[in-house]
Amino acid sequence: MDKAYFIDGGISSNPLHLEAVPWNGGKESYLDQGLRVVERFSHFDSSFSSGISPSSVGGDAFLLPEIMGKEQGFGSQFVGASDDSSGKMNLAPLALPPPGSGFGERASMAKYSLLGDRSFKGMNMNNVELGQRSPIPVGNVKLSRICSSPSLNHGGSLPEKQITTQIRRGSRILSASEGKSRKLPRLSSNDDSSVSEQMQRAETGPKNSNETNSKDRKACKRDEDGSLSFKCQEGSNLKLLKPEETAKIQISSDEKPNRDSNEKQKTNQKPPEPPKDYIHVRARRGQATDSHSLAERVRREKISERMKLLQDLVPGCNKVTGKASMLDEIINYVQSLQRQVEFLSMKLASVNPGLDFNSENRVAKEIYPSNSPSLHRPLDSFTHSIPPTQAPSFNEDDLQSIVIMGFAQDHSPAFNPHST
Amino acid sequence: MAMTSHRNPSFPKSKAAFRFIRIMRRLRRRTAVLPISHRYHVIRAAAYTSMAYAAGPRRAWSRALLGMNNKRRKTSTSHGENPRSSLGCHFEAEEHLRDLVPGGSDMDSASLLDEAGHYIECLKAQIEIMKKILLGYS
Repeated sequence: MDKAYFIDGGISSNPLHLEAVPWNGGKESYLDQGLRVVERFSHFDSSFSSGISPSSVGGDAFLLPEIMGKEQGFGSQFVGASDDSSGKMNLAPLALPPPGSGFGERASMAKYSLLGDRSFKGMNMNNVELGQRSPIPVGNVKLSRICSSPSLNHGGSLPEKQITTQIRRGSRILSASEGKSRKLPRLSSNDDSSVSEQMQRAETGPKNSNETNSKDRKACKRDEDGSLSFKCQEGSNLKLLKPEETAKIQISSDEKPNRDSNEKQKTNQKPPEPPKDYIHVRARRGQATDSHSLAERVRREKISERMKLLQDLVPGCNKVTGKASMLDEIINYVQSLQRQVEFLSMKLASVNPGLDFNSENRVAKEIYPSNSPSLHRPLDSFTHSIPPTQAPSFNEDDLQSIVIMGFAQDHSPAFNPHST
Repeated sequence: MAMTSHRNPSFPKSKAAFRFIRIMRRLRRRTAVLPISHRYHVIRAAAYTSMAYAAGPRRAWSRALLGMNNKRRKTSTSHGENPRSSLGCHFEAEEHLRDLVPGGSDMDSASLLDEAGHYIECLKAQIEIMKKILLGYS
C-alpha cells in the first residue's frame, strides 16, 4: 500500500485537524507510519466520546470515570432515599446515609464486566433514565445494588472470592413487604439482602408504572451482562416471587475496597472499574441454574440482541426469521456492498486519467503561485460542502483545483500496489 | 431501514472523503501510466483505507484494515474469549462472515456481529462518498 497515504501534502494548518506525518524517506515501514497516523486518533477520541451514540461507542475504560461521577451524584440521592421509612421511593434531598441503615454500606459491589462496545451505551442510557425519572428507579437501583453483593457490615462477612448462590424464599418476601421499613435495617445476611431486594421489588411493584417496567426491560436489554437477565425480570418476578427459586450467581472478588464507590453505582450498569470481571445473572424460573448454562444463556442473549440490531441495518431482514437465514442475508449484503465499492473504484480508475495533466499544471501554477496557503480555501469549501447536505454539492471547480494542487505538490513517493 | 444521519460520529464522512481525495490526488500522477487494473487496486485500497481511517481506531475492523494489529489495550473481550466459538450450529455462515469482515478471525461471535454492523454502516457511507466523487468528475 502506498506510503503516501499517510503523508500530509504540505498543508500547514489543517482544517480537519489532520497532522502531518513526516516522511521518513522509506525507512519506516508502512505499518509504523500507519500507526503514527492512527495514533492521531487520540484527538478524535474526544469527538467520539462526546458524540456517543448507542451504536458507535467502543468500550473505553478512560471515559468511565466521567460517567461514574454522574452516577455518584445519583447514588448519594438514592442512599438518602433509602432511609425513607414511608416506603415511597421519594427522592429525599441529598442526605447522608445514617449509620443505622445498613443499606448503603451493605450494597457494596457492583459487578459488571466490561464487554465490548456497549458499555457506554448501557451506562449512558441508564444515566439518562436516572436523570429523567429520579424517584422511581431508586428502588430498582437499590435492588440491584443490594443483590449484587453480600452484606459486609452486618451478618455474614463473605470471603472475598466466592461464588454464591442465593436462594430466596417466597414467604419471607410477603412478610417483609408488610413491614418493609422496619425490616430494612435488619436485613444483614446474604439471605436477608436478597429478601430485602425482593421486598424492595415488592415495594416498587405496585408502584411501578408500566413504563417503569418497560424501561427496566429496555435498560436490561441494552445491558450486555448477565445483569441483563436480572433487571429484565424485575417486573415479571413480582408475580412469581413466591414459589420461585432463583439462583444468583456471583463471581466476585475483592468486594471490600470497592464498597463505598459501589454504593453509588447502579449495579445493572457496567462498572467503572475495568479489571472487575463479573457475570451477574439470575436464572429464570424453570431453568437450569448451572453456572455453565447461565453463561451460555448470557452469551446467546447477547448474540440475539446484536442480531436484532443488525436486522435494522440490513434491508430486507425483517421478513426473514431465524439466525441462519439472517446471517445469510447479512453476508449477502456485506458482499454486495463490497462489490459496489469495487465497482465504484473501477469507475474512478477509468475516469482518473481523463484529466489533461500538463496544461492544467501550468494553469494551476499561474492561479496558485504559493501552494500551501491557497490549498486551504478549496479544501475548506470542499469539506464543508460534504457534511451538511446529502445532495451532491460538489463544486467541480474546487475538486479540480484540489486535483491540480496535488500535482504541484506531489512528493513522488514510491508506488506499491496494495495487497489486501 | 434505519437512515443513519451523515453526522454519524462513528464515521465522519468528511474525514473519509477528504482522505480519499487526498490519496487519489497523490496517486494520480503516479498511476496515470499504469494499467487500469493497477489503478483499480490502488483506488480500492485507498477507499478502504480512508474508510478505516475515518472510522477510528476503536473498531476492530478498522484497526485490522489499517494494519494496527497489536492491540494496546488490556481490556480485550473478557467473555467469550474463544475466537472460534460459534453462534450455535451456524458454522458456515459465521465463517463466511469472518472472511468478509476485516479482522473477523480474531473476534468472538458477539463482537463479530457488532463489528459487522458498524462495518456495514461505514461501507454504506463510503459508497455514497465515492458516488459523489464520481458525480463530481463526470
